[in-house]
Parts: sequence; structure tokens; C-alpha cells
Amino acid sequence: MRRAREPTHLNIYLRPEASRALLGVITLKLDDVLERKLRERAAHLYGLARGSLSKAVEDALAMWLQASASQTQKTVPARWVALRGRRTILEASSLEELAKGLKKVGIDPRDVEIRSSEPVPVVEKLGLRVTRST
Amino acid sequence: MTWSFADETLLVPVELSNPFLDTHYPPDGSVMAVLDTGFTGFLLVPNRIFSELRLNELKPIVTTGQLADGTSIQLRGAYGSLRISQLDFMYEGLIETTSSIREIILGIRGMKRLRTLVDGCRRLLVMETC
Repeated sequence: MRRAREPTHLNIYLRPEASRALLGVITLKLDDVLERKLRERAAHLYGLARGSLSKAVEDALAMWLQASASQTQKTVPARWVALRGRRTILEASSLEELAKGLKKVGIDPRDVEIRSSEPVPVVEKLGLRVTRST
Repeated sequence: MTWSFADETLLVPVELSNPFLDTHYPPDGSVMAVLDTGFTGFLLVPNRIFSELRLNELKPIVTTGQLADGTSIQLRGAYGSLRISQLDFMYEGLIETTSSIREIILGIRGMKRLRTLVDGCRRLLVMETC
């Protein structure tokens, strides 16, 4: 019975800074198909010279890291509070919930300050669509 | 959801509300808001709409708006809700006004939970929630 081929171990040299003496080495196990594609792509882009494979992997990693950084950011949901003076009367996870809560306890929303956990910006940039003229 | 450019402007149909006094603008349907990446805030509305939403009855939050020429004006705001029905999108934030506002302007903070693509090739504005 034919044994499945073991994945190739590739030593990839990553350039940290200018000094070649400080190259980082990562050993990867790749399956045959991916390895073949990687070698073909590296040869196509960087030629057959020594180091082309490392350069290709370095570029691929840089792109992958950049793509991860631009993924959707998880934002902390805002909390909403009704204040009277400095005292918190009610807190809720949405304005709608806060409005219902105030109604339930019979507090007129006009008598309290509504605030968000997200800070109010000191200055808003208004863009070109807003002018001083009335 | 996609919308065509209108007169070289990016317009989005929105509904605004004041959940505290149960008011909505417009009372039925939606109204077009201008998508303006030059505005860093949530929503700017004309005084008239601010009053129709009765946001002027809530305790005001006063902020400073910086105009494109570098000068500043005072903005009055109150918290309210923005809905884009076609996207099943709802977001809450500071709705602001000042006397010189003539249109509803949706700013960068109002687009926080939206993935927006301006497709100049097809003259389309593409939006989805994220």
C-alpha cells in the first residue's frame, strides 16, 4: 500500500531589520498542492534565485496581517443614563430602553439629562456642506 | 442595499426619532439624508426638524462645530435614533443642529455600524450593516 507523502518542511527566513545575521527562521509544514502553488508563484514573481520562496512567504504574511488588522472592529455597546444633577436616575443599554424606563417610573425626560457612555466630542468637524451664513 | 447617486450627491433614506417624546421625522416614510464624510459627528438636522422631533425640549448638549474655513460655531444637540428601514438598521446618537443647516447630514459616527461602498463606476452607493 502506498503511503501518503509527508508534508514538506520549509525553512522560511524572515527579514527582521537590515542585518542578515538576525534573520528569523520559521519552519512550516505545507501540503503538496499548496507547496507547489507557492513555489510556482514565488518563481513567477521573484525568479528562481535563492531567497525567492522566503520573500514570497514574507509578502503573503504581511498581506494576511494587514487584512486581519482591517477586519470589522468590535465596538463596546454604548450605555445610556438619565442624570438628575450628578445622580444617576436610570441606566439602560439603549435610548429606547431608557425612554421606556423613565416612562415606567413616571419621570419626565425633559427634567433629566440624557448622557451616553461614549464621550461627547469637544469639537465636531462639519465639512463643506455647512457654512456660517443663515 | 444600493442607491443611485443623485445630482452627484450620496443620499440615503432615513427615519429619525426621539424615543423620549415619541416623535418621528418624517411622520410617515423616509427622508433623504446626505452622506458626508467631511462631518465627523452622527447627524446634523435643520432647526425645523430638530423642533419637529421635539429634541429642543430635552436638556441640550452644546458642542462646538468647526467649519471648513477653520472658524467655529455652536451646535445644540440631543440624543435620538436613526433608522434605515431598507437595511433594517437602527443606531442611536447625538443629533445636532444650528441655524445654518439646510439638509439632513449623516456623518462618520452615524456610519459606524455600516459598511459603505461608493461605486463611482456604476454611480451607486452600496450599504450593508456590519
